[in-house]
Amino acid sequence: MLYGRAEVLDALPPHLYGGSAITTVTLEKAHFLPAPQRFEPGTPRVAQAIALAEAVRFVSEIGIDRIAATEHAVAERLVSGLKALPGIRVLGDAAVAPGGRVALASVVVEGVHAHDAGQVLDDQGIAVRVGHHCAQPLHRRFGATASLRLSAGVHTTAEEVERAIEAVAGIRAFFGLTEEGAA
Amino acid sequence: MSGLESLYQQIIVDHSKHPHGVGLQQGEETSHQLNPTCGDEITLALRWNENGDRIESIGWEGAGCSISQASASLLASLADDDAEAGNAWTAEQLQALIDEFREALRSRGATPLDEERFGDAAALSGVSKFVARVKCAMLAWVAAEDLLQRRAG
Repeated sequence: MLYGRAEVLDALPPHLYGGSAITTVTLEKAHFLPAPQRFEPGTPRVAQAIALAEAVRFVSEIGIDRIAATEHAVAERLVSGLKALPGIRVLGDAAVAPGGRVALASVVVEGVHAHDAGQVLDDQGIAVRVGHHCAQPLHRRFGATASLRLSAGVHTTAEEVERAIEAVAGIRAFFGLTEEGAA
Repeated sequence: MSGLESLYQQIIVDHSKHPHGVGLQQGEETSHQLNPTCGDEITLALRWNENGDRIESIGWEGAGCSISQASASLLASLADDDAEAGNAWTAEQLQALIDEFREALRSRGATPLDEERFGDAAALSGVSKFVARVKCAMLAWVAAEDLLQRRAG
């Protein structure tokens, strides 16, 4: 989405050319419609516009404050639960707070590659992202090659968070690593 | 055996923790293979006998998930076992083995690896049911194939 003042948007040339974006075209010059039409040549993105309206309706119905509070509570438990596990390192030390950590936690399972760890969670029906999450330099900064990212949202229940923590706790044991050997 | 346990058989976990054949010599010809989607990498060398017609051993170095590392270890171990038994591989034999390995891993569980031929490496059969992990298991074998192709010119 692009949001801007009309006089600024109307001064910008289109980034793509196509139908339904012009007023007059001569061999010398093209005149474009005012925003937003000048930026929306060709077939309109109908499906995306409907989806965006639906998404806005969804957020408005629940209320953005309630969504934030729910995610906050979920994140608190997720992060503190994971931090308490031996052999599990939660990346980053930002607190769960507005302007701080959002409702997700990236963790390193000591001695287990993120892809192997993710496979164990997948087997229990827990979907996480594994890898360097388009943030290789940051992982290098943390001394990790890859991590496991657990993301929660407004749909995530407290019970699901407990299940996820328990599943992460079982990863090292699955690969035969004992907690005495934990870093 | 659950799907997960067939993927991570004890042999695979053991080989990933205590890999076989790790170490490369200065200046030897290697093939470096990288899986950019997950960052797994293997650098592998085929070590030929004096006549240059049979493989005496396989050396490698790498980093990545347990499947990619165990697969390299199991390949090196299989080469050693066959060489010690007096059946060191020719280029053709290794290529045939790689072809068979690839076919089994791409079979989605339909064709298991022949234990007679693959020994402990047959434990990698379980990987074929996890399509996303086939590439991990193939990495070392692709490196070996790359070296064979370069040699053939």
